[in-house]
Amino acid sequence: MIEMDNVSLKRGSFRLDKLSLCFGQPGIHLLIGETGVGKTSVVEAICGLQPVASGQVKLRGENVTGVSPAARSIGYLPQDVALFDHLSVRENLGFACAARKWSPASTRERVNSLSASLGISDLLQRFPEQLSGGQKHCVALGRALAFDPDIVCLDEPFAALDGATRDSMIQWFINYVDEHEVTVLAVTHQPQWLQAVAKTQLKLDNPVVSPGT
Amino acid sequence: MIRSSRYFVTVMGIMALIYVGLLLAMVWAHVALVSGNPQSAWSTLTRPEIQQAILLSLGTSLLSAVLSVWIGTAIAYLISRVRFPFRPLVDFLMDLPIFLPPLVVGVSLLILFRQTPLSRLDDLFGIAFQVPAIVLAQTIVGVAFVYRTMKATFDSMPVRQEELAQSLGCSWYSAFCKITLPQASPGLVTAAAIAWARSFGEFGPVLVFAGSIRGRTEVMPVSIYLELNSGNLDGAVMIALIMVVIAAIVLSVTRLTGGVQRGGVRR
Repeated sequence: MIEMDNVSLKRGSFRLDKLSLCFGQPGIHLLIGETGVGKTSVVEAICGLQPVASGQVKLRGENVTGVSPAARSIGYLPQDVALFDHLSVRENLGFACAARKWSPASTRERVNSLSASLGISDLLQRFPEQLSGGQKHCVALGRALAFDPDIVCLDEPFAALDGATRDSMIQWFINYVDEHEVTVLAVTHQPQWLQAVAKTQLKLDNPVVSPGT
Repeated sequence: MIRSSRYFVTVMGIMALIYVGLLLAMVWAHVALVSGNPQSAWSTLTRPEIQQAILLSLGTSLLSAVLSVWIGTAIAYLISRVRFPFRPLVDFLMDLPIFLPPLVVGVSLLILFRQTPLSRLDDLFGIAFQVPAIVLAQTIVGVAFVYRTMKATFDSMPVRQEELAQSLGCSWYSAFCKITLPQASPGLVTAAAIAWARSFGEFGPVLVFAGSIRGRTEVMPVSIYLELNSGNLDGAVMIALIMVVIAAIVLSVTRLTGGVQRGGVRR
């Protein structure tokens, strides 16, 4: 469960006042809105990457407003994917597992199964600079899911992918979410790809959030 | 290439030629003088106090470089990533050792450890005119150079990956060690090389704060000074030539380990 209760955000001249939202059930939830209304800021506040000026962020029913990003256990895929350039694909995929003190054997096993599932097993020894845009996106999604989080935040997912790659990746992701009962918050200004399977869709109109269709 | 561009490149080429030629001529002057009277130059090297000065120079400069990298990197990261009151003032103060005349740095250290309550530390541990004074004088200057290099490095690196590492389960410190430091490694190697080079060649602050006591606080630049004072030009040049060779070796290693960033090349 992802909740925001009267949350206000301030970043430079940007300001978002008294935002409340709640995504209760596992499944895909969309937060849509025009560019610049603050969708990314909302996701970063949920992930603990942006301070909250007032209000509460709750995850799994607990107030996590002052809790570190690591302790929130959210799988996060940022818009710019931000793969770690000095690490191989294998190391990128296993990063969260290693950070959470999984044993090397468990990390290796998880990376192998996830990469096989994503169809990127042959890329494990490569570095991000040797990947195409689509492959980078695939690796970044795998990295966000590797430690088996029950909450995942995606910022403009699949936007940088071409048609065929996007369709197959979306299908893979929908299956994954169903199988693992993950609560997904996807922020996008192009909701058409996930609209059909989304449980909830909220439209962000600065400074208020109003329910959409 | 159009004509105006050709003139532009030619002017820069001439400037580079003059400067690089001057550098090579300086090295050649050393070699020429030493090869003119090799026995005198060699006899300087066989003297125990000079051999000790070489070892002391290598040891203190290495220790100072390590301390400088450690302290300078920590402060650079703090100033680059954390907003706090008086941050611009700290940033300004970090440049002082670079802009102050070297002798002033030495005099300041001497006053600090001899004329203030900190003199108790000197009484207890024996700092001024001892080996610790050499390391302290070298480190004070080295930290400033490491700070400037590493701050530019951290400023040029997006915070994004660090934040992402934290969201994936790292603490801030862990994200710094696993993501930021490896990505800053070219800057780190360059900063270490600069700190070492500054420490290795530091003269003014060392002379004032550690003195020029033969066999005790004599580092290579001080040896050159003492040899020149005693009229042994060949000896001074021989020591200088050794410093040039050691510095060239360190610079080569730095470049091989990727400490020098390559820019784009226009065709």
